[in-house]
Amino acid sequence: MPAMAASPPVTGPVHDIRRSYVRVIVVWVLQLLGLFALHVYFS
Amino acid sequence: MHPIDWAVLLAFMGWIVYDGLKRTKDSHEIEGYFLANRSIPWWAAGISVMATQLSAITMIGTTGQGYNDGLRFIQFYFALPLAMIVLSVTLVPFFYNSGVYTAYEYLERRFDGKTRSFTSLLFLISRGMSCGAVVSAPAVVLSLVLGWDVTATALLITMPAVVYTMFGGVQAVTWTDVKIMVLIVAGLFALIITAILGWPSDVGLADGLSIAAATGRLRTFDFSFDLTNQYTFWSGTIAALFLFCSYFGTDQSQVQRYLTARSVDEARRSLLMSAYWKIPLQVLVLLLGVLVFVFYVFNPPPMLFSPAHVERLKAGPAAPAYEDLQVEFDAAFQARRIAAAALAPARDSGDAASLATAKAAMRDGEAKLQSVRNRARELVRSSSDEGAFTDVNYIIPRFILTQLPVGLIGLLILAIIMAATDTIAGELNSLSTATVIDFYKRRLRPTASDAHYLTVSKIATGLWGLFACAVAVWAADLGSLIEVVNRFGSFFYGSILGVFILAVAVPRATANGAFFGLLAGMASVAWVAFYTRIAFLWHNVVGAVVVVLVAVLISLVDRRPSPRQT
Repeated sequence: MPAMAASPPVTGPVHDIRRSYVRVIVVWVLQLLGLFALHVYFS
Repeated sequence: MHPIDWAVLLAFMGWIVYDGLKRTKDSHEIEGYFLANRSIPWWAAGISVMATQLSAITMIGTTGQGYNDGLRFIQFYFALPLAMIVLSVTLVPFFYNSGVYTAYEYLERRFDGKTRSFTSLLFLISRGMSCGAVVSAPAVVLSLVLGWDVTATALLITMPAVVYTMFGGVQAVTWTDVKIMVLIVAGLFALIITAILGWPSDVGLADGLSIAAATGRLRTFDFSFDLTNQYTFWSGTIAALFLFCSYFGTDQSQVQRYLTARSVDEARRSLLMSAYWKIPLQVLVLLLGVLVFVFYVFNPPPMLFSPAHVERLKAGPAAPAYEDLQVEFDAAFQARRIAAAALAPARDSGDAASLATAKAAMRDGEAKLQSVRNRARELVRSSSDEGAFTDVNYIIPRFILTQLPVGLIGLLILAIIMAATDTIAGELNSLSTATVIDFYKRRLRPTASDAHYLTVSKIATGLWGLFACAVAVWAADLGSLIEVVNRFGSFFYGSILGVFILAVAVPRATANGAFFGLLAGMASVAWVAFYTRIAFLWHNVVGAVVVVLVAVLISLVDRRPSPRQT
């Protein structure tokens, strides 16, 4: 069975903007968790 | 206001307008005037997007809402980051790469001229009306708090925007937005520091937040699924997603901001800036209201925050009733202050039972004080023709005028005025663009010179400024100012979003399907608004879904291809 060629790493502007989307979602989840912590801690 | 405050206000206002105009380059051509020759860096376009939304209504209405209701309004913004990602993937590349001036121009390429004209007309109506509401908020409040004339105040807010938007175009709007945003954020921090410094020395930040929490003001999440409740987790994540996709993706006042960016990726980054910063910024705004509430737990607040209404009550036949309420209010304030002071020791003791007792006493004290305040507000309503009177928009201006030092008062009043001015400027610029590009150039004079269109654009900007002033006074009578703005939009936003969903995601949708689907969507929103109690945020979902469904059905029957289907 022939060895499969490794696909080249995805780089460039498209990859950058996709990473930005992931960062936005991570930050968004952290913001909601922070607000929920505030909600729970003081209630 | 003190003469020093006036000097600070006028000097900073003059500098902001002058510097905005100085930074304007190559605005003698239509692309430079409306799109800045696509030369604006992403961070400036991003700040401009945020500044256009952060109006004086946010500065006085949302902070007042934080004072009265706490942080729960933040749920409204939960979907915003998701909306930014959806738009960056879908509409932003379509708009940017097609080289359009207005979002509606794109609809003619995909469907036909009537769909473009109709959506653009809806934008002109709703944005023109909301422009008036944006001016009326600070105009009415500042005129009553400072004793200024309403019309003069409306002109003080609108004229700088008209001047730099007329002569500098979108570049002046953007660079002015950046400076105003810095001023607003600095002002918010100055107010927060002032509020905290006004607490007793033995009350720390955690103690202050506990006091606010005991009255329910740190309750951020409401997971109840109630379609009639404006602010729940579900309306904030589902219904608001439709509103934000529509507002940022199809409203020319927002689309034009990121069309000025240098590339499609920079346009996306400018939108993602809001995704990162909008929720923290709104928390800051609401938290200011909460911290001012704690300030007034320990310092005697006015029973009503609007001094003009109090003066009228005292001079009229309701004066004895008002004096009786004042005595009751003073006693309730003292009881609440004592309950609040007992809360910190109860927390420190670690005894759950005494903490629960202290919290209950605080809640009880707050309820009694609010009951007196409600009766005082009712007294204003019954003794005047202001049936919808509320003093929520007067809380922060009153705090600024009574608690800040001379000089800083001028700067903070300027921040409120300029928050309205930069929103108006962005909106006037986009109204002028839609008027000239979608109607004047498209329908009346398709082949005139750039110089001619530029002159018409400047005249259109001035006329829309006058229109905003005229609507301002009328809009003030419609109730809560925040909701006024959102209500105007909600009638059209969802339906317009539905048309753009068809354009991008439904290749088989025909021009007739889109147009009649749009009419059906608007009719359904009107029906829901008038005959049900469903909260206005959900109107956006109704509008978008009905447009898509009706358009798909019509398109199945109507086989004539749209321009892009061939």
